[in-house]
Amino acid sequence: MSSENGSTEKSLTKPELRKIWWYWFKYCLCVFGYERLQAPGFTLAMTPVFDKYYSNNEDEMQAALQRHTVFFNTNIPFGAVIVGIVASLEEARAKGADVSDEFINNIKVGLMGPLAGIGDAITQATVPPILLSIGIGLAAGGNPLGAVFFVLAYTVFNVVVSYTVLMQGYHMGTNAVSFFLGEKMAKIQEAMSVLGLTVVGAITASYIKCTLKLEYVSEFSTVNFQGVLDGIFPKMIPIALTLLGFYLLKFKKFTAVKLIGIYIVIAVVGGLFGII
Amino acid sequence: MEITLFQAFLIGVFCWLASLENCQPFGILFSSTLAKPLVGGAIVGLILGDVKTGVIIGAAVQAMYLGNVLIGGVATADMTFVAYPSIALAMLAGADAEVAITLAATIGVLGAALFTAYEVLCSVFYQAGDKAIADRNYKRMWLIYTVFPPILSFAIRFTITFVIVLLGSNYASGLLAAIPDMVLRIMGVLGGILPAVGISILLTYSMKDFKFIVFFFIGILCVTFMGFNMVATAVAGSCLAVMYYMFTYHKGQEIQDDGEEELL
Repeated sequence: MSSENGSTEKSLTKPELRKIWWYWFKYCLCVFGYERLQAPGFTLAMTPVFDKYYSNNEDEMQAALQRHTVFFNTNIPFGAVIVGIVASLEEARAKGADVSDEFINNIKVGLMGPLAGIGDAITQATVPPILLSIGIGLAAGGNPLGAVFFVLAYTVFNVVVSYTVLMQGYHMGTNAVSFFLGEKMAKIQEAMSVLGLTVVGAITASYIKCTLKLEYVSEFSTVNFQGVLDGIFPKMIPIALTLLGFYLLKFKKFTAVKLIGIYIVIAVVGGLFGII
Repeated sequence: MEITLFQAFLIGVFCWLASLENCQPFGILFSSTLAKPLVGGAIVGLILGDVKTGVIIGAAVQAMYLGNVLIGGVATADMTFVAYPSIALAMLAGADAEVAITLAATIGVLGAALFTAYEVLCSVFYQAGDKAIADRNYKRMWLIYTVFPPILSFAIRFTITFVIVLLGSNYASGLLAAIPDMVLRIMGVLGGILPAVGISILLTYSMKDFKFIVFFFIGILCVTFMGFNMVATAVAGSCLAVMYYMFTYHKGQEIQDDGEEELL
């Protein structure tokens, strides 16, 4: 699969690449079922390539579409790089390069996991919480500006990321693969989770609200237990609740619904006895 | 609060427009921005003629879902049902923010169950798409992939939202008034705790190695002791991430070279 091969010269035009990007942006989850998740979205995103090279070749067209009906699932904005890489492979194949079905599928399967890892750390754990916190701040007092800000900022983010990585993926082709599966990428992924975890810590301290209502009243003084806890370490209860949830999900294999059940029990018991 | 048929219709349409499986008209990545309660609150508020209350409730509900993550297509709550019918219902009932959070959480979980059913139903489209490709009928393939699923999604989301909102306008406020104070108080407490669900999911997701928990604590320290806001914390986190990368990543060759020197 050497890129020196003369037949792998890239000739998809800018408008064609933009169409591929738009189809991915628009249709990525158009059939949202567990069975194959983003497979139809991926197939549709490839159609501009197929239309260009196989419009007069019914057999190849059908084979190409069938090639992409298999399960595919990744992070949508960052996974666009896979769309770009595979577009370059499909193009090379259409021009006669020796690119097998298995090779294309292996690239997709090999990359979708790592990219979901790094992409979700950024697009789920880091960027939305930051943008939403700013939005919530702007929305104070009932100002709709917060919502407008979020829609604009998050859309710009999604467009810029997905467009840039898709173009990069197309131009780098298979060279991108060794980068994404290399040790360097593994380290970048870990570095991203450093950022993600810092933001998650900040969310924990900012948005979980649970304080002790208990007070010890004696003749001489009143002891406010929440005040005592705050004196030791503020936000102790929210941190404990989060770590409990983490422990149950990670080590006890709880489902999210079961975890909600646990919190309901805590709220009911705590609320009934006036503890929290 | 009263609601007209047209208002209920609009809220139903938005519940569909904002759904993550609906590719019309600006694409799925755009729809996903509308599915946030912060945005839903503003839109529902606009439709019901009280933007202020809508935004306040939306922002409160949003705080609970800052950390909502889809893992392999499995959601813990259906954000679109959280952002539209729940907020509309809370507004119609005149509920305050904490009660709205619990209401949204309940409808969110029910919505997720419903969405699971939708995801199973989608298998039909995959099979039909395969058949269209086998028949070389690519127009039909486009129809099956891009037109029918949004119609199914519309049938589910619009109908349920429309009915809930219409029924809600008649019964919700009476129902809320009938709930004892103690239950409302517990719902309020629960509303404060529930954000922990999404956050613990995020933790399991970004913490591959337990030692990384130190960064979670640094994030907490930034807010509690240093008084950072979210943007400042993110900047601090980015610095840590770059430092982590600088100190831990060594090019393969360097390590080999070191090894050789030791052997010699």
